[in-house]
Amino acid sequence: MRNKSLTNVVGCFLLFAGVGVIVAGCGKKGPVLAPVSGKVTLDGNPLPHVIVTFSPNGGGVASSGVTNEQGVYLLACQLGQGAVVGKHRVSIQSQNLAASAESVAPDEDAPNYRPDPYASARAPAFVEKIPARYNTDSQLVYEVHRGNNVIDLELKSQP
Amino acid sequence: MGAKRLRIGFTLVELLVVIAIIGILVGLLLPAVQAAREAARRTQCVNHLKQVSLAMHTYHDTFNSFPAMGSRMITAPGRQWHYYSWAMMILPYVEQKNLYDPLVSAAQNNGLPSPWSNWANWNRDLPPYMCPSDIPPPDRSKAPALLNYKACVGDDYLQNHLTPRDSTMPGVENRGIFQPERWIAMAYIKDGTSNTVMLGEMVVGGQPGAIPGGVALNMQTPSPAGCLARIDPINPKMLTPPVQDSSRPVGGRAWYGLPNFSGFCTMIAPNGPSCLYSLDGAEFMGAASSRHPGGANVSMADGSVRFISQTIDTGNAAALDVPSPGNRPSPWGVWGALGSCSGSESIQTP
Repeated sequence: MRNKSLTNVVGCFLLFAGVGVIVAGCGKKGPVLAPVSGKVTLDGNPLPHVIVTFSPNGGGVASSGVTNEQGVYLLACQLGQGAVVGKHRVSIQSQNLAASAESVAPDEDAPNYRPDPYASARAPAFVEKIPARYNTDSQLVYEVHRGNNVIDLELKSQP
Repeated sequence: MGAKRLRIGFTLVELLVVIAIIGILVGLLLPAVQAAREAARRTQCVNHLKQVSLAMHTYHDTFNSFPAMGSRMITAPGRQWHYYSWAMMILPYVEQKNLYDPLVSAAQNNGLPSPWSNWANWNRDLPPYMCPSDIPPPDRSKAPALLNYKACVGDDYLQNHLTPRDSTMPGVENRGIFQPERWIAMAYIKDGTSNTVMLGEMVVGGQPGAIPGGVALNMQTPSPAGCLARIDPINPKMLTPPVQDSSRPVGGRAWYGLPNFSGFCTMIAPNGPSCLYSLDGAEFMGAASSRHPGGANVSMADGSVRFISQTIDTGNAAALDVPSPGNRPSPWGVWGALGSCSGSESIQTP
């Protein structure tokens, strides 16, 4: 008799725990992300310090990554690591490293400080070294699948 | 001591089971309570955004134009000038005329102190300018007044302070409604006032490098991808260095009329990263952001408030911004199209 009541109580406990787990599991929603990495090469040579961007074809959050010295990139977006599952337009852009000389904001409490409206107008204009068919006119389409994705991008300077 | 002893009280197992059940019930209830509290704060946040939007309309009724994002005025020490924000210009229309009048007399006599300085008339956190869901910045040394609602510069950020009034350099007009030193009338909004973003939420920030709230300095490429690439791939809630220090929180200087402190653009989806291209605070690719789950509120130029999901279509993130984009259709999807006021696309909010 006592054993049976104990079984009932344990049964109730398991039921509540099960409901709790189910309710907790329903909380998360949003697009599914999958990890994406790979290597970027130009005519077979690794391409360091370029920005790889995956923009979803159906609209949604784009993911970007910067290549390291070996040309390897790892994608992330504000929702987390990786890219949204589905088809993406892929583009490869260079970075204007000439602009990187200044990286600390000016001392705004200096007696004669005022904002310089023309600083960037005087700076050298952004120059894209990678052919336009890989960035502004890109037709590269890759699909990101569930699970780990390795997408190597082999660029050629001549079409 | 017989076998049929009458039990008084509970066994240990029963007690533990009751505690476990109560624990599970509280565990189920607590998130619901927190969500209800956040929903109440969000309602109040929407209400504040609506009040500020109506104040913008009252300003327009009075002066036949919206306020400029920042107006150039003389600063007291050294007779330099700074940009003073739209949030200061609409003070009489958010029932703060008693705060506005001393600013006007100071501006007409000795000039105003710089907009981040520790001046008694600056140190005001006005409830209509604040969203109750947000958390204040840790460093208030150069952040006199909080501002959670920012003016939209459009789907454009490059040289977005080069106004046509400057005679020494060629002028550039922003794609959106707001720009330093530009006062535009509602008739200029050719995409329609219901289809153009006027104000948007942004967290006040102050935690260096955090997403949202932090600002990545020295962005390298004038496209949204150039800013998205600053998300740390190992820890996607943070930006890669260099980042803005804690003394310049984006929402901590309500009276400063540069885009870094009183504006945002519609190139990166809500709750995304924010970046500065130049370092003086003008070329700011700032994303709308909030502590509400899933997106941020914006108000359209007709005064209506909408919630924009953080997964809104942002088109081709690799498309470059150019100094004079003109009236081209936005390359940055629905979100970019909502920001431009005459981009020849009258896209409605999703």
